[in-house]
Amino acid sequence: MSAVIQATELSCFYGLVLGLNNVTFTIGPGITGLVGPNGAGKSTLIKLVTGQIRPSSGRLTVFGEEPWNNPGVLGSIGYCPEHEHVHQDLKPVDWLRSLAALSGVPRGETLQRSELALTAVGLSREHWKKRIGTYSKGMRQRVKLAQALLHRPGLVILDEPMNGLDPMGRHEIGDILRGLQRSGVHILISSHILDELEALCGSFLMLNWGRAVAGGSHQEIHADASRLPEQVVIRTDRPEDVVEYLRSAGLLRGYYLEEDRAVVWVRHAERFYAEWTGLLGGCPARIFEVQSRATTLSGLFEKVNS
Amino acid sequence: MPPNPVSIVAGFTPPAPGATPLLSVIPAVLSLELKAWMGPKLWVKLICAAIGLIVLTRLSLSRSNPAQFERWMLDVVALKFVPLTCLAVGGGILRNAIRSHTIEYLWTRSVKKAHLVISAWVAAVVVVTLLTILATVIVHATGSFSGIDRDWQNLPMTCAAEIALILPVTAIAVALGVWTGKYMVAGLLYGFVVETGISRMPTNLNLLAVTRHVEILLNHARQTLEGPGSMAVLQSVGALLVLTIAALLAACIVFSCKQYSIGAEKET
Repeated sequence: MSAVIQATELSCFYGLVLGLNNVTFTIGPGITGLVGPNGAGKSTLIKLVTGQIRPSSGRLTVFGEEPWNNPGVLGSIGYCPEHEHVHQDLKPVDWLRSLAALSGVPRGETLQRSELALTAVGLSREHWKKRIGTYSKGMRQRVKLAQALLHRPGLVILDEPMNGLDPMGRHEIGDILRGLQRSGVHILISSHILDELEALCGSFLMLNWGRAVAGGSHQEIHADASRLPEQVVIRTDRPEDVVEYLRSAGLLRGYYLEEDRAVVWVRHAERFYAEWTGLLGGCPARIFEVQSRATTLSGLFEKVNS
Repeated sequence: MPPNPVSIVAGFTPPAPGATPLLSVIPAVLSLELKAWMGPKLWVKLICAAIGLIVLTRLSLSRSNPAQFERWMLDVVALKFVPLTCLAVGGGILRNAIRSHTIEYLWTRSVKKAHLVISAWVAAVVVVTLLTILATVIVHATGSFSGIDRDWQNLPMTCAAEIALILPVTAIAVALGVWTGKYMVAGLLYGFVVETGISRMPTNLNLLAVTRHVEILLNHARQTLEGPGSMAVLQSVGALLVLTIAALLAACIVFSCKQYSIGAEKET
């Protein structure tokens, strides 16, 4: 797998504040989701990849080159920031034309490209005459996405692109991103909406507290995480007895009880899933349902962070 | 069935690899800044500023006193209004983009940061020049309507001398703007120390003061003193160019090396 982004012992500090701490990872082709809570280091990583800041130590490459003060590699990146700040008093076509010219698009093509990019992101022509300051949040997201596509980048970086979009809008943006991927554009997308990411991305990079806690495809992360305690919800008439039973079987790592269920962290998930029918069959309590929380992306994320 | 716009966008030809040439960056930034500057309330702002300037000019003048008017033109318009405008526009042009995060749309493209600085300087010079010419014409017209005998033939030369002031002061303002967010304070300090302090020193250090050279040019333009000959004028023009280039160079170096990380991480 050829690396689109490669980090080797990468650290970035803002004075004494931690941004990223000695992370090593590879991001390959396709759509990759960047997952992590606030303060995990997602924005720092995106700033490093887009050449806005330079690493404190270690090395980061995009298409094999370091992005800091490197216009050559920045020309192959399209960036859609998270924040809402845009030139309020400009009309979208005017703004996009200037940005296209900055990216080296020939002057004669800037108008056509701007209009096509706006059409591609689903901003209807009737809105093009209005100033961006009058736009709704969703319309601004579309303009921001359009400006990232103007120069036909090889890698598009999207920071929370679904913010402010209604479900229909999210679906449309998802379709656009899949279309880009089919045409060979690689995408790095950061989002808090994990369900959307799960449906869109072929691989993930999970960050927390400035460290890369997991990376790879859903299956790879799941396999990596199988050695970790796994959260299982068992719906039962006597949660205390189930917990006691699992403790005596040597499988229990932690638990809490709810009214009709026991939420437990099992120590050896593979053994538990291989033997759970036999194991729980011997339990004095009645079991109504066993549910793993590590099958979804958010569950996996919780698991690797536990 | 119409073609899918996504496939068209994905099929765009990538621009030539490497940094975008400076000659393409300058018009792009200029167009961006001018369009942003010409916002919806531009005319209202300009009319208010013009009325304010007319009132100020009328209040400051004794009728029919050309010498006082000339002095006022030099002291207030050329050496106060123009440098302060340069400071506000030049210092803010990149700093405001950094503060508002809109700079991210510019410096994440295939543009050298030094080219961005030079383009921002050109845009600031154009904006300040337009404002200065407008203000100078308004002040001249107010003087004429007030009964002061004005020589309109001097106006182009006066404007040229003011543009010679705008070039270095805007470059210094851009350098201060990329260096610190408190560029107005830094600019005023610079004004007090260098322009008001050092320029009065009877040593060669006063060659560093922009206003000293501009006074020579303005006096030459208005032909009010016997003084400055062609040599002195050439020397002043040369000094202003050197100061402009030095300030731009400093701005390019600071902007290219400094990291402007204003993210949530730093704020915490």
